Amino acid sequence: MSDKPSIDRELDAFLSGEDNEIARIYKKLPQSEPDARLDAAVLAMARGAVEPQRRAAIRHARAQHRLPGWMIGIGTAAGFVFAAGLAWQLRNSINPAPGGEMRPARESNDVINVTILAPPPPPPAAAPPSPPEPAARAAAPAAAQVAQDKDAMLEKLEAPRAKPEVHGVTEYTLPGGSAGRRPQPAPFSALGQDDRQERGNELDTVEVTGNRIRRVDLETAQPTLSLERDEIGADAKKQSNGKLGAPREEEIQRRRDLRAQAKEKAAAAPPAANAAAVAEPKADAGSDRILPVNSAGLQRNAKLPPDKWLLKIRELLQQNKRDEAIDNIDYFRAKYPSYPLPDDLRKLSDESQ
Amino acid sequence: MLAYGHGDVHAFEALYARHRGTLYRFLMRSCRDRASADELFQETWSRVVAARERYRPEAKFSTWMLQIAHNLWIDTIRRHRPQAGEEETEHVFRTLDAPETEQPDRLLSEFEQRRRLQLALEDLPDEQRTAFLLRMESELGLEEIAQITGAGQETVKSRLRYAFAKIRARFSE
Repeated sequence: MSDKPSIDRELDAFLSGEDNEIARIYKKLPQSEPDARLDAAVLAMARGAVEPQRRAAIRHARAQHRLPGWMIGIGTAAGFVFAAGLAWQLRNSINPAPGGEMRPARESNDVINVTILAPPPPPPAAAPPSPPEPAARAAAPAAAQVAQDKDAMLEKLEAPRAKPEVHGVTEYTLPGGSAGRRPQPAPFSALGQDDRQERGNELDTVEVTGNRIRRVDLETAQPTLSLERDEIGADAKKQSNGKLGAPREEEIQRRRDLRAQAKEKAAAAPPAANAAAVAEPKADAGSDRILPVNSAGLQRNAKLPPDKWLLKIRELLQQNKRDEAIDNIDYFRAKYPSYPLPDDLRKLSDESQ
Repeated sequence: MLAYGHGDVHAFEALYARHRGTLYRFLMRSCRDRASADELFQETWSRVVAARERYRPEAKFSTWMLQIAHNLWIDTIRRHRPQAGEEETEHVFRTLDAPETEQPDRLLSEFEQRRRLQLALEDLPDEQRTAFLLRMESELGLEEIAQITGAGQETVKSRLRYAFAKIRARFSE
């Protein structure tokens, strides 16, 4: 009976986790463990049990992630279409088809402004028809008259030639940009198709304003390169380094030389030929009087009706933009020779000449 | 176990490494026969694997696993009675430890203590031994032992008390 409380106390201690002699001895009993063969058997059994499940899971996952066949087909076709389109675009940009479709440049930086200057006055080639027999008698006076007319015409043209004479501005893109050409500005478009063709063939001066001019600078851009057909040979380098072409004095001198040469030729030419030579500039006088347009403002004004253009000119005068106003008047007179110009504007234009 | 239920073999390997010794010793000391212990050990894990998808973490895994092992062992007992008796066990220990037991001073050496404990466990009735082993080997509480053996907590505590008394009696001889 005396052992019972002792056993209870020992059991309570045992259940509460306290160490006692029996527990200590029990822990010293051999710690039997399964051998390696048994471990391998159990693990193999466990792996084998889940292997079909794992394979099924993998198959299920692959099936879920597999794209349907129609989607693969559509994707492949879309890829081919995209690649073909890209190749087509690249081919067109590298080898633009001559005379092909014009596309606008992607950036204004891709544009080179080429200013086409007015050709030098052609030699007088036309004269008013004269009867055959009196022509022989009047050969010397006719030649002198031709020379006088030519002088007057050249002097009229000299003043505008001090500034670059522009028939139109054509923008070309760099090789890196899209091939194409922008629509030409109004003054050029104001000319007839035949005139444009004629002047394109008569190009003798090209001014390049550069290829890094942004759109906002186009109005005030100055040409960086000016080449004239006559000067390409000996003076090409000199002209390419200069700004805005030759100085005014050199230009005037060159014109005088040309005039003198023309006089000599006219004096030496047969009367009929002189008459024909004189007739030609008279016939083209109207078109030759189309002055160059190298200012965007002038281009804009030229698109206006004559009465509004005159108002614009008066506004320029009020704003003390006399030079620009004179340019506008000159161009106005060239474009509308028969339009009655107010006296004050006419005087202003005459004074400037 | 839940991870293994979803097919993660590595989760099972970790689980096995943690519980293999406990289960094996429980079975070894319950069966007192390595072959039977091996058989029951493998069968227990087989039941665990088979029940992986039905497993619900309502109890500790060790409790669930030992319950399976206990049930298997009970079935084995019922099939193989009578078991090896006390004489056979004593013969084995005597054969192994004759020089030690014949020491004249009769001091209870450490080995003798272990032998006597082993003999005392052999003498215990199955229910008392199971309760004692579950407490000693797996450090389970009364509630868990009751869950595994399907008995009430007071019954388990009574079994443990009787087991302690018999082991004490063996040591005091």
